[in-house]
Amino acid sequence: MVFLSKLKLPWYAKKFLQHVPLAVMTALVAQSVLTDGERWLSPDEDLEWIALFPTLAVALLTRSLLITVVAGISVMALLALAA
Amino acid sequence: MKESALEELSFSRGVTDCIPTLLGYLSIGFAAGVIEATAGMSLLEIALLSIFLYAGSAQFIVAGLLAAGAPIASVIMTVFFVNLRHLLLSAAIAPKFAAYSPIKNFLIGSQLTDETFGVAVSRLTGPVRHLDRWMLGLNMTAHVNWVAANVIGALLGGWIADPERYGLHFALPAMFIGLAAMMVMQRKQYKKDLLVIGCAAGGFALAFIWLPSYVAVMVAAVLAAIIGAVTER
Repeated sequence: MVFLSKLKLPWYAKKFLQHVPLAVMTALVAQSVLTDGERWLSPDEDLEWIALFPTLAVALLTRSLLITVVAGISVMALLALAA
Repeated sequence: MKESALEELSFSRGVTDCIPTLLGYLSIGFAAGVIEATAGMSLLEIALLSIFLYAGSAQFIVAGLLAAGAPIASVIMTVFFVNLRHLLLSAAIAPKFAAYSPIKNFLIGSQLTDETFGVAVSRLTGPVRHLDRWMLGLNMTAHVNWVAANVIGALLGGWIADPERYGLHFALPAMFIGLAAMMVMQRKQYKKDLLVIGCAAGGFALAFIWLPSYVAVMVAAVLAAIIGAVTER
């Protein structure tokens, strides 16, 4: 805040920074859903990919972070049981 | 007769104005603590993170990157960029603080978050006095609440023996999914946001062919953000 009272960022830098959080979060989700850190997960062993969709649905419907996380964890637990 | 429209603020007003936001903070901070513990951070690390970093989305990203195996330097860099967004928020309300000394402004700015920014913007519609005290009350209340939530969450999370069985390792991705969804719904720039999401996911898939996971994550994120910025005009 000290500097920014006087600093003006160019429009493209501002826009870039505005998109960074969403970009990083999406990339991280992609990483955890599609890989196990080292290699690709094949569809029949990839539970997180299946859990992604109900979690997303809950997020869009409830708009509550807490409920979304609880739902995601529950789905994951159920999938782990069923597998 | 001239009416004085000057509003008298105070530290305690700042505290009470903050209380409506505390519950939301508690649940997120709580979840953050659990996630950080699951990602392997010690209680001390978590406490320090919530004290000094003090930003929900940035803290989750730290945990996510660490879990994906990123070295500290990359994590710091990524967090820096994510936090620059906070600097932009500060810039928006900076004009009101022009009267105060730089040191005071620095202290106030370092405690700024999306939520307190929201409270500040909706509250500071007319001329006010003692803005610095009010801001301090607001920020300190939020910050203490946040640290406490993180620590308690971490303590409770540490007691669970086998996180994978209960699906807890999905807590972090679920958090990002939730945060991203809420962000997109709130901003209502669906076309742009969907483009960024598509590029980030696709970019990651592509990058992962050649690069280790955390590098692919950052390359994809940077590219997606650039594409998002460039397609604005």
